[in-house]
Amino acid sequence: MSQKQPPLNPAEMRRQDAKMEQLFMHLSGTLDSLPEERQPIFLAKLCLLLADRLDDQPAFTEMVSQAVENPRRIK
Amino acid sequence: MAKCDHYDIAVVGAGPVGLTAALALAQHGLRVVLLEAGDGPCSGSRAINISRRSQQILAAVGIKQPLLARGLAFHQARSYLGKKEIFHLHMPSQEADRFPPFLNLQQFLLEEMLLDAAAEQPLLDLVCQAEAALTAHDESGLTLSWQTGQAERSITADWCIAADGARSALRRQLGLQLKGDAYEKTYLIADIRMKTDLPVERRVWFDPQTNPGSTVILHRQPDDILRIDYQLGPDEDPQAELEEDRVLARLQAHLDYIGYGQEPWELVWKSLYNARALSLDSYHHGRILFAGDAAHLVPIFGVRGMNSGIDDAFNLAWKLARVAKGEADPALLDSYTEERRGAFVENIAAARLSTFFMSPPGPGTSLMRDAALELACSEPQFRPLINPRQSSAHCYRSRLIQANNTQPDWPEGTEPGWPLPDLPWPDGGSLNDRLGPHLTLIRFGEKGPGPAGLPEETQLITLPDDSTAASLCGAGPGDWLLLRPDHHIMARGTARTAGFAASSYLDLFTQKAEAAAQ
Repeated sequence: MSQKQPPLNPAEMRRQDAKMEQLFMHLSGTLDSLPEERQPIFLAKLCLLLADRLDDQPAFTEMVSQAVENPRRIK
Repeated sequence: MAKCDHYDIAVVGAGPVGLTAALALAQHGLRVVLLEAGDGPCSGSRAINISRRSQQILAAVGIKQPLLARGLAFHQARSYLGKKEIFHLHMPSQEADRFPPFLNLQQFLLEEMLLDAAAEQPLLDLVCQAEAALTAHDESGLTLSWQTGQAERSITADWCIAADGARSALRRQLGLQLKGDAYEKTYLIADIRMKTDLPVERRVWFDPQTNPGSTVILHRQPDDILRIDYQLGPDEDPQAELEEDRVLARLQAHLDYIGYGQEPWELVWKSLYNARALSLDSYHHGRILFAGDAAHLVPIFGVRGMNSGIDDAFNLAWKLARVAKGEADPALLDSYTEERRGAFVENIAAARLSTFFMSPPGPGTSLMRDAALELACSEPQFRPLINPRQSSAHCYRSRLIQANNTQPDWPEGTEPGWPLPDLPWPDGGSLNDRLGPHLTLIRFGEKGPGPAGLPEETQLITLPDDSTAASLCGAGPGDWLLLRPDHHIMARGTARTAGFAASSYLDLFTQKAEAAAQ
């Protein structure tokens, strides 16, 4: 979600970046520990669990669109 | 050649780490022999990114001018998904900085500079084509031997630094094992000569058409050399890919892809590389101390290999010099492993995400990496995941550092444990160029008695309390910094905390070795 947020100070930015890194590493490690055929169902279950935590349905719909969007990168 | 039969210190391996250690030890007045298995400088570019901290150390051992004259400064890094730029890192410099964040320089050029400096150092003897083997080793010293034609040559030394690289013969002789992780992916690394207007910056392409699902890295070096690294796929045979025709075709394809395919170029060097994160448990074994790749291997992503080795050399040299001269207890050497193995652990943690990004260990990580790259195109909060996390200085937290009085208003990087940042000298130039291989007390203003209990040899530098240097350190009248010989801040205080009793860190520094004295 690209919501306008007030600018963060450097320490807060580092904290946020570290949090994102931890989440990334945890998810990556979990995915790697699963058999490849189980990975799609794991990701689908995770999406449903996260969706259940969100009260803001329009925001969730927008996130779905963003995830679908092809970045149209120039090959 | 070896002019003596006995030396204070033998350094095995004349790469950047061994040369830095040998030069630093000779500056401390020790008689040093440097034993190198090869003929001279290495071939190929190898380690090409010299960090700001390494530049500070290399300046301290005497090669500041050639380093800055030959190296190419680099301040920026860019990452692309296909051809779309998704991350731009600008590494800042302060006005007082003597060096850029990184210098690109081929390793053999750096070795040539260090060898020139070694040739000027009367206490240092260099012996090439000396593939040294350990033939005796006990609590009083060691013997190293090598073949010269049909004859065997030997020297004895009180201590030895093993800087003989990733395949360290001394490590093997002592039966020591590196422990940790090896990553399966292989990179092919190549140097090409090509005149170009490409800027001096690190460029990484994720999933380019020329290496689908994988990565290509590009760096510019002096003398019209470009370094191009590309990751090989799991089904590609590294030895087959190393065939010259194959390398030429793949490099040409990538040059075409980035718009430089029309320029004439030639291949000058190629090699293979695997990422590894391995270390010895201890870097100190009897009279032998391990440094650089002989002690630990870190993935190249973030350029921590040679840079951490140069840091090892400078950390070790002053400690070993004091112990070898009987000026400090051998327990001082325990802090070498404590501090530098701690740095290895930090390096691995910092390199871990970069390694996962550049060389995903499994299909799950690969999928997550691709998702993060696609999201980073439009969502800035994911871009820091792409940050290459380049090598940076370490803040030591050991018994040699008094960190328990750190004040919240001391600027980051000026607290005890950090290397002293570059600071301006009031009449121009840099304070750091005036630092020698001693304990150094920097006082801001003339007020106050300064800390007590310092050894007589301590170098004293007094700066005005209204100077730019004082401001950059957040220092007021009577404040002081105590620097170790490797220019890390050992302790810091104010006029009120000047009369501190010599504590454990200073005891270790000054305590005479009882065993050596007996």
